[in-house]
Order: sequence, then structure tokens, then C-alpha cells
Amino acid sequence: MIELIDLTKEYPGATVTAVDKINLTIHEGETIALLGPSGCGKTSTLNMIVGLEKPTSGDIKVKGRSIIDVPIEKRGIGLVFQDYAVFTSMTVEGNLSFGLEMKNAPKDKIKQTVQKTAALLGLSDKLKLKASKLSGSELQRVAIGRTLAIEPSILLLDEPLSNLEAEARLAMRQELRRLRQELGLTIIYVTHDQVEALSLADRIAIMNFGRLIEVEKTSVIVENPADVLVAQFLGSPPMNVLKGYFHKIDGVLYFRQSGVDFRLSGARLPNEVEEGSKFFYFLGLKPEDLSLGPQGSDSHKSLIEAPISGLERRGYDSVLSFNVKGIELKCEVDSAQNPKLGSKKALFINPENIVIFNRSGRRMDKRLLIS
Amino acid sequence: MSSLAASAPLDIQEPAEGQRPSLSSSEPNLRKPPGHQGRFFTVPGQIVSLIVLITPLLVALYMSFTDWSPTRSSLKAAAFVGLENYKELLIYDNRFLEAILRTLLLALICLSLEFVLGLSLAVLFLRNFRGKSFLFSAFLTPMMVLPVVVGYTFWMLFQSNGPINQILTLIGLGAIEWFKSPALAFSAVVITEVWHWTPLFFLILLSGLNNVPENPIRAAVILGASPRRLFWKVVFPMLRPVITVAFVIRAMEIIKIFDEVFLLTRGGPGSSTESISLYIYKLAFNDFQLAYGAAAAFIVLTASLIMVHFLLMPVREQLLDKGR
Repeated sequence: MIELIDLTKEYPGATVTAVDKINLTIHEGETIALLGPSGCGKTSTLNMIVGLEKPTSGDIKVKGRSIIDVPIEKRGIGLVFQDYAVFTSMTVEGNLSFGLEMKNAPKDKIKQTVQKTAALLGLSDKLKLKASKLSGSELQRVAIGRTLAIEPSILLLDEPLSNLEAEARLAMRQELRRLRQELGLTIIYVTHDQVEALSLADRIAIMNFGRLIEVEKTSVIVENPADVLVAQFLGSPPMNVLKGYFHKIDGVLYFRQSGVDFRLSGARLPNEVEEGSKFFYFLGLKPEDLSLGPQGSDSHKSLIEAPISGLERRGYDSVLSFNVKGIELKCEVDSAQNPKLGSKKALFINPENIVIFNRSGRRMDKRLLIS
Repeated sequence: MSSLAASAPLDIQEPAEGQRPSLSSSEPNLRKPPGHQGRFFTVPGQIVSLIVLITPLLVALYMSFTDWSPTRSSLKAAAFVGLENYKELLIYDNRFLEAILRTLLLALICLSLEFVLGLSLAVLFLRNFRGKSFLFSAFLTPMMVLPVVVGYTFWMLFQSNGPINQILTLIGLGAIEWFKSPALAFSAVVITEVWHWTPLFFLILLSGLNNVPENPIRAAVILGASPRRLFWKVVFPMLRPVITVAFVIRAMEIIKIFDEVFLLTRGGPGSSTESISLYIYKLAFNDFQLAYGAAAAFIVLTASLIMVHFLLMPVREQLLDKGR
């Protein structure tokens, strides 16, 4: 188990705090993804855990013991770099045995470990090759193998797949999943690619501006993000977010953002949610929950009517964009519907599917009720 | 909108049509000359430079096959002796062979010292300390001094009653007659040369060290490498191409060493510090054996070409392989 307690990193001369009081507990054998845009403090966090950087304040505990003052090589933490950082002047074998050699391990143990690691990563027939002759994904394997050979209790991966081509990336992703199952390692995985995070991690920790915004099980976080920032970040395309207030016209509930009224036909507010321009909310509408109707049919029940302003075909699905006076909505539909750019459509949504966030961006437990 | 649409068929159409093909075809038109006919314009220049560069070499090569001496006859009248000069040099001329070995020994000693000193200085300069930029400039200064000035200065320093001997006397070691014994005269040349050219090694190695990627070093640190093993197992192999290039550049220079030796010892005492260039110089300008000197020069040229080739061999791949 590894605990980050109020972990903070400030760089001298920098105006923003790189890592701002992060609290996170990672359980034994768990894979957690640190997900966030570039410059959000992911890599700094990783460097502090591994020992390449000293935290400004806060603590890191492994199995209940602080490791802040433990020298880097005694922490038992392995790090795989984004650019692999393989020693290209050595052979694959030299790379795999490096960590053990530095620890002055007995020769036969080194040999045994190298064989085992090479077999695990499918490098057995490449042991004698110079590392400079390897392809990207092979280098990645060597980098991972080199780290695994010292048998770390925790494995940190810093954007391990982002330098690979799409195909190699897919294969490597499966490989990582297999390794995780076979070795039962605790893995902290840094990425800005949510697909990677979603497909590999048990839990996802979302970071932005050095802060931890949300930590949640992977299965939950996309469906039901606890924070509006996460909602805007996760998913492809991410959730549509409206910012405004509820009000009623002739007994029908509307949500108004900068003068545009979105009709919430047949819905009523739960007790905790207030109506009126003083009460500011965020509404999250998942693109896949929005559906199209032809103009005119039941349009008095539609959320809004708008022309299709953008169209992106993704095989079976298409992502449509609607621009309503500067507010963009995205909607995912079956490509078989054959939407046409510019044609005016009515958008529908089941009000029960709308996620409500309070004014500080936290998700509310209540949803709209159907009257 | 309407005016554009109306005028387009009338007066815009022609220039528009004329323009479009010319836009797409004008680029190749502009680019073609340098690609094709263009290269012919360089022919006169090439011919001139060929004449200027190659002719003297060819004349010298021809000269090396004759027994020409400018005091006796013209080159045209000189007798063609074939490989006689080469045979004489390689088999019988002990002074020539000794000069070659001596120059190689000088290169070996100087390059080793310069490398060790240059590398140590470069490693020290990886850290930040006060006065770093001043010291950096100071350390580079010797390299910029004219060889003649260096030779003259050290000649003065090494005089029997010069500053170096004064310091040696002061600390109780006694004065040394630098230029009277072969070994001491050779040491004086080594000291001068090392002082003069260590900065080049320092400069090249420092830039090499600064360009070593950070992550492999970090990876090695995480894997538990001690500073010493980190340097020898990870950093040094990455520096190898740079080190080799530094060695090649310096080896080329030191094989040609002339100025310092000429000003310090004139090759003496006897011929005990005579470098290959100095010997060839003496052949040509003291003995007027120009043909014989030319043959010696060609032997040295061929030998240094072969040497550089072998020096570069281990890192050729690394140097040419830009991909990684």
C-alpha cells in the first residue's frame, strides 16, 4: 500500500504549484491511472514517489513507513520512462541485468532473473542484440523488463505507450494487462490518454492544475463523474456541460444558459435543487443519451431544435455537433441514421439521465424527477 | 458578392486562369534551374578549384618519384627514379622512421594527458559554482593563442634562468637544464602541447556531456548505480563518438606538430625531439632535397589516412546513425 499525504511540490520561481496537497491511497496490487492534461503535475508526482525529486512538503508512505528520506535505489520502486531510456550502448541482456549488477547480486541469480524476465516479455531470442537495433515496442519491453528485473514492489509507468505507433500501442496495452495479472504488481500509470487509463486501470485519479480532482473506480468515473471538470474531460466525446439555472415558463421546466432555454419537458426538480436565476447549476448530458427526432414531430417535447453544424463519422457511430448560439452540444448517433450536415433536428433526452452538478462543480446525488 | 460574380466572367477570368496554372507551375520553374541546368554553372568554379587543389598535389606526387633538387636542375630535367625515394625512406632512413615513432609517441602521451585533464575539467564544469563562466573563458584561452606565440613563450619559461627553474629552485628542487637532455626536452614539448590543447578536449567533452540524455541516467540511478559505475557504464558509452572525434581531430593536428617543436628545441638536442613535420621541413629547406621530402610527406599522408580510418571504425555506425 502506498499513501500520498498532502504531497506538495513547488518549483522555485514558478508561479503555480506543480503538485498541490495531493492525498491518495493506492492499495496493494491495484493499478491506478493518473490522468490529466500535460503540465497538470502527473510526472512531478511520479518523480517524487520514485525519489527523483524531493517534495516541498507532505509525505509518501509505503506500507505505513515514510520513504521521503529513503535513498532512491532502496525504495523498491521501478519507473519506466516515456522515452524508454534504454541503455542503447548495451545489449538487451546488459539492460535487463543492469539493476541486479548494480546491487552486486550473485552471477547465477542475475542469469536466472534475466532469463525469466526475457521470457516474460518475449525477449528471449533478442538477449544478445544491441539495444540500438530494437524497434519502439521492443525498446519498451526492455525498459519494462529492466525495471521488473529488480523486483520492485511498485511499478510506475510514465506515459509508457505514447511514443508507440497505434498498432504497437494496442499490443503493448494487452501486454501490460497480462503482466499485471501475472505479477500482481501495484502499478501507478501516468497518462494523458483516457482510453489507456480506462482500459488498464482499476481506479482513475484525475489531476488538473496540480490538484487531484477525483479518484474513482474506472467503471464508475465515466458513467457518473463526481466533478464537472472530470465530466468535461472524460469520454469520447466528453459529456456536454450546460451552465445556467432552472426556471419555469407556463409550468414547463427549462434550463437557461446565456439566454438560450433548454426545455426539460415532463421533468420536475427534486427537493434539494432550487429554481431561479440565483441558483447556479451545471447540467451534464452524455452524448449517447441525446437522441434525434425529425423537426416538428413532438418538437414541443424536445430539448432544443438546431441544425447539425458538425459531423464526424466513426464507423458505426457518428458524432454530431449542434451549435446553439455559441453553446455547443455533441450527440452520438447510429451512422445508419445518415445525418446530413445543416439539416435541422430536434434533440431529445430523458431528463432522468441528466447529471446535475452544484455551483462548485460537485455532482449532486439527486436527479430530475419525471412528473 | 454580386459585383464579384458579375465581373468574374468578364475581366477576372483571364488573369485568374492565367494565374492559377502559373502558380502551380511557377514553383517547379523556379526550382528547376538549381536542379538541372544550374549545376553546370558551377563547372568553371569546380575546374578552377580542381586545378588549384589537385595540381600541386599531383606535381608533388610526381616530384616524389624523381631526384629533383632545385639547386641542381629544373623539375622537368630531373631524373625519374621510381620508388627509390620511398624505398630509401622506409628501409634505410632511420632518422625518418625515428621521427615517425617519436611523433606517434608524442601523440599517445599528449592525447592521453589532454583527454584525462579535459574530461576531469568537463566533469567539474557540470556542476554550478561561482565564477563558472569566467573560468570557462579562462580555460579556453590557451587554445586561441597562436602556436608560434605558445612556442616562444614556453621557450622563455623553460630557459635555464627562466621562471620555471626559478620556481623549482625556490621549492628546493633545483634548476633543470630542460633543453640539454633528450628526455627533458621531450617533456618540455609534451607540457607545452598539453597546455595548449587540453582546452579543445575540455570544450568537446563538455558539450558531449551536456548532450547526454537525462533519462537513461535517471533510470540508472533508480536501478542503484553508484556515481562511478553510472559514469563508466552509462555516460561513457554515450560519449564515445564525441571522444573519438576529439581524438581524431587532435591526432591529425599533433601528427603535423611543427611550430612548438621548432621554437622550443629545433628538434634537438641532436634529433631527439624531431617531429615528422620538422624533419620534412629540414629535408626541404636545409638540404634542398625536395623530391625526397615530398616522398616522406606522401608516406605520412597515407599513414594518417589509414590511421584515421581505423580510429573512426568503432564509432562510424554510431556517428552515421542519426535515428537514435
